[in-house]
Parts: sequence; structure tokens; C-alpha cells
Amino acid sequence: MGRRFSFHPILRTLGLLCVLGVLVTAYTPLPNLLAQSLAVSSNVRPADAIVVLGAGIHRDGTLGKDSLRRAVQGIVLYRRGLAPVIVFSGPSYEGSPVEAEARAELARQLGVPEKAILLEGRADTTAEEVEHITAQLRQRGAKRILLVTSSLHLPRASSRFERLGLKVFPMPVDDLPLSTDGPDGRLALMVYTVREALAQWLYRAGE
Amino acid sequence: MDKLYVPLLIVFTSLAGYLYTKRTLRFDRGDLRRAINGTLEFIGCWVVVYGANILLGLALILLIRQLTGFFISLYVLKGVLLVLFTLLQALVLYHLWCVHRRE
Repeated sequence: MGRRFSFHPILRTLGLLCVLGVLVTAYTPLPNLLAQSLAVSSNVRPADAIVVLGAGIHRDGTLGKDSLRRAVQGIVLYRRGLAPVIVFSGPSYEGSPVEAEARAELARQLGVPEKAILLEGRADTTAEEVEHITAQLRQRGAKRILLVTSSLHLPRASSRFERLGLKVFPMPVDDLPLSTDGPDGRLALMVYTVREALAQWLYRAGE
Repeated sequence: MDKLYVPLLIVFTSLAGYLYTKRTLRFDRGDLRRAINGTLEFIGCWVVVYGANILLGLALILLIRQLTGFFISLYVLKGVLLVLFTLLQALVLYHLWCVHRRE
């Protein structure tokens, strides 16, 4: 009689690989190198518009930390005179206020004039954001944009804008620095990097 | 030193637990090896269940978006909740397999 097949050695090997993977991720620069290989670096130049992509808002109207960071960076670029208009993106998430409007309110309070603010508050995905924003900017004759989002989100966002004919100058804004060297930071960076790599693959597969 | 504090703490409490258990239960090295193997198998089981949940979750979201036009964000899969529920799933499944192996 043949021996019965057992899953246990396979599970043991997977478990061992998982433990080793966590240790390597937490205590070596592997996640930093992977993230840096996917990320886009900054290239700030004068443009026709600053585009700040959505990142989330809480139900009580508090901007998520990524959203706030990106919005502030967009406002700083505007105040430096790098573009005449600023586009805030971001929809309502399950009953929350519209993220784009909350960011616009912040911009107004920080001195950005009403006429310089454009909103995109309907898009649920990056692809939809790109389509809607490009349509708005085309009406204004814009050809070059300063794109504000995280450095790992920039590759798929900027390639979409460029496919629709806009020249993109990237302005990465990261909540978690790609050079983070603490074990917790590196684990979080690895999770984020793997997620963005998967998203990039899904976007390419869907094109 | 900050980076090593947690691993050193874990080594210290593991060693204390090992010495206490060795004195009270009088187990041998084979017991320790089996315990470590069991733990690795449980983690492996969790990896399989988590991977299955992620793949199935992705596929279902894309299918629902495609067929109904209803939007569910892929980000629903990134939370801690899925990790915790999957740990419970893996725990039950692993114990089921262990019970089956003993019979």
C-alpha cells in the first residue's frame, strides 16, 4: 500500500518561509530597495495645473493623513507659483463628505483663491480620476501637469495621464518614507509595495 | 538598541517560558521539535488561507464591478480585519487536520 499524501511538510515549509520572509523584510533593506525600484522621483517644474489625487476622508469629514499631506503639498506648489490652477480629487466614501470639497476648503483657508480651484469628486478609481480630470483640463487647454500623489502610486497614475496626452511632472508625497529603517516601517513598506505592484499589474492587465 | 528591543524581549520571555515548562512538564527535545513544527505548520496554513481569501476576494470584486457596475474598492482587502479572521479560520482548519491525522 502507498503512503497517504500529507500536507504537513508543505505547510511546515510555507510557515518557515513566512517566518524567514518577515525577518528578512524587517531587518534588511530589501523592502526599501523594492520600493525604490518601483517609485517615481520628484521632477517639479512650472505646469498648467497641479493635480492632487484622492487618498481618503473619514466619515466625520477629517481628511485621511495621506489626503491631508497631498493636499498641503499641492497648496505649497500653488503658493510657489508653479501653476495657475489646482485640481483636488476625491469622492465621498460611504456617507463621508466629498474629499475634494474638504481639501478645497482647506486650500481656501490657506489663501488659494476660489477661481484657482477645480474639483473632481465623482471618481472611485485612479483610472476614473485620470479620465475626469483630463476632460476638465482639456477644456482649459492644459498640456502639462504637476501630479501630486504617493511615489508608489505615481507610476500607474502618470502613465494613464500621459496616455491621454498630458505631460506629467511628478511630485511624490509619502506618508511612509521609502528610506524608513525601523522594522515596523519596513514591514509596512513591504505590504504597501506589494499592493502597489499588484495594482500596477492589474492596471496593465486591464488595458 | 531600539530596533533590537522587541526581539530581545521575545527571546527573554521565550527562554523563561521554556525553562518554566521544562521544569513543570519535564518534556524532552522531541516535544520541543514537534511544537516548533506544529507552529510552522499553523503559520503555513494561515498563509494558504490568507492567500485564498485575497485571490477570491479580488476575483469577486472585479466580477461584481464588471457584472453589476456596483463599486467595491479593492482597498477593503487591505485591513487588519481580514488578517484576524483568517487567523481564526486557519486555527480551526489546522486543528481539524491535526485531529484527522491522529485518527
